[in-house]
Amino acid sequence: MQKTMKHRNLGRLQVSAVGLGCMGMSHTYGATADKREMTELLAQSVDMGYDFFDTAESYGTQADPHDNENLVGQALKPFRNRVVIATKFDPATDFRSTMPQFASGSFEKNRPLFALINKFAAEHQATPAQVALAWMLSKKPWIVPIPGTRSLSRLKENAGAADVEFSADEVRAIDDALDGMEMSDVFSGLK
Amino acid sequence: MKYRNLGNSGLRVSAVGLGCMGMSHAYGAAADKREMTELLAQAVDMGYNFFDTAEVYGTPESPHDNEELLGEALKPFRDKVLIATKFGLRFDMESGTVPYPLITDSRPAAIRNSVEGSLRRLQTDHVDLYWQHRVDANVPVEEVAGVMQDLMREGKILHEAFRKLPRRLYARLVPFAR
Repeated sequence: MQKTMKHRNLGRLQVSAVGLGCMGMSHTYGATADKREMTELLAQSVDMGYDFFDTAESYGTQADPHDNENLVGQALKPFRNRVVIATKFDPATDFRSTMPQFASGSFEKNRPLFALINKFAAEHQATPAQVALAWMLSKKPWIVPIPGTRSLSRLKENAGAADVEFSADEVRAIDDALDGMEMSDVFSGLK
Repeated sequence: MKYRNLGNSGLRVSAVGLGCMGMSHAYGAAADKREMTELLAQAVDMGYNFFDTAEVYGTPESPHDNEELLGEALKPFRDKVLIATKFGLRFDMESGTVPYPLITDSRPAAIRNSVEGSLRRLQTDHVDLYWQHRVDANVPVEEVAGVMQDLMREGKILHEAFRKLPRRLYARLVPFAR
């Protein structure tokens, strides 16, 4: 008789006592497993009670360097609000791991900032990144942000920031909120 | 895509530019060059015309990977786009510690060496915007600005910029502003 999956605390998360490492579905263990098979397997694992899935940005193949995240994203989409997805980047060569805004505790500290950005994003039907860029653009007519990206969808998204326009009142409202807000440190930021 | 004037430079740029560092540097393994070449072409197609790189954006195996990528990828569009690159920083590969520490070097001879390398890797005869990547405490900004003026007279760079310059140093650059 199959018992129901036990759960345990992982920091502040509550997850299935056994998670599923998805790396082998795309990476390292020879030819990529059939995507349909693995999508089916992932659905079956959710059914069994697994709710913690681990992948990484770098798990991929020559054909698709991010094959694993793509697979996991697609397969778990129907269950997204029931599962916990962990992914990772390579700290040894990825300087973001040393940036204060990504340190543990910073996410919590920045919640009011996220709430502010999300509010304006909803009001303007824009993404949070577009709101941040649009705010910068609104500061001076001769300011040009140069956000980096390696993805076509972000490239389009960032370009779209130029179409998000804030009124003077809105900019003032954002600035006032920012002035009164606690935030984490950021890499290369002013103190 | 909307356009705007960049500072007082007279450069007319896409309201949002593209920072290319992450394609080669700092965010884990370098991205696939073919993918990034394709992405850069798509960016031009979308109206992006301002691309930022630096001499130092690379990996131990390919120390100037990013400029080389841009040189190749933007070659077909060179007269439609503006390329910014930076000098004045290099990695100390002899230090023995990883990540390699950064060394600032804005000595005139080093700048001249850097710009030649950048022009060659970017496959162009001019850099639209040349930035000092970081202030070099050992070289007065006036000296750096002097070299910039020379490079502008020679047509190797069109505009100069200084990154993370302390406010007190701006006043000293006023005589050099066009």
